[in-house]
Amino acid sequence: MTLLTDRSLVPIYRFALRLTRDAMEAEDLAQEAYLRAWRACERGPRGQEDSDAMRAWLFRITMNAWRDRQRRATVRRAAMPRIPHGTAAPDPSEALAGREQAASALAALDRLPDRQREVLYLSACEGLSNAAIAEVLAVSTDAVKASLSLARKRLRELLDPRPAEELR
Amino acid sequence: MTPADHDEVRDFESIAERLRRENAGIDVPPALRAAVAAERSRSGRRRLALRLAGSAATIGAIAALVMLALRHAAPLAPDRAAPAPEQVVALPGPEPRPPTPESAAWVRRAGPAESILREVPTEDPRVTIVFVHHVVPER
Repeated sequence: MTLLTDRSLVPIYRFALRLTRDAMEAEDLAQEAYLRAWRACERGPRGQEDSDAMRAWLFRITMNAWRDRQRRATVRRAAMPRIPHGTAAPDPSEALAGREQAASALAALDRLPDRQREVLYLSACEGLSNAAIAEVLAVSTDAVKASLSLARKRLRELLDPRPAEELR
Repeated sequence: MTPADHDEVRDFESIAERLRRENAGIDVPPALRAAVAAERSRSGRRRLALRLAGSAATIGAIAALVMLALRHAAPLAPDRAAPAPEQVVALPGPEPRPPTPESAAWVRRAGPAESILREVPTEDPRVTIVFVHHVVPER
């Protein structure tokens, strides 16, 4: 019996979007992660689909799938000849889209370093506890707390570039 | 959480609310939904086919073992005809018993069975039904 429904695809895809910061790659990653989870569920029941444990498990699968993809990409890049930087002119439409997205909190989130972005997304958007986030990312709870604090501070600065004293 | 942590979370709440609102507006692209549904369906069909193949192989292995048992049994009395395998399988018999070295040898000769799960002697002393564990690879 399959315990995973299409509903689980939504949080997986949203997390994949934040990890990859690319819609096309997020689709590929979400598909891979969802099917991994689905096959695991086929091998044995995993509990209630909406439970916190199940959601953390889905995020962990997505995270692992993302790390696997990054490893494969690193190997491919190492095998490719290097291309000098600065050869391609910036696309004007991309620059415009970037300005329009500047007001978006998610776009600002995407500008944070990977670890800060991951912990803040899982905490603020998905409501995971620090312990659950630590499990998803395979790090300590203290590391989650530290990254979370930095991420909040940095995101506040990005969304409101006034000096920190004025914000208080 | 320390008081400082609480302050930090409270100060950040309006931004967190914005993040949640924007995140909730993101829906799964229809192409992704369709791709996942197609893959699930394909995978489901493949697994069903494997299960059926596994069941058929197990039934085939049992039938082959029954036939082997008949072949290795004492010659039939002239007034008795050999029963068909399906009739033999349907016979009620005593309780299962552990496998014997002889039946293990039959299973090894019969093919891909991994191990003997149990044996069930039948009322016909020449025939023993041997249930085997048959593993079908996933791919």
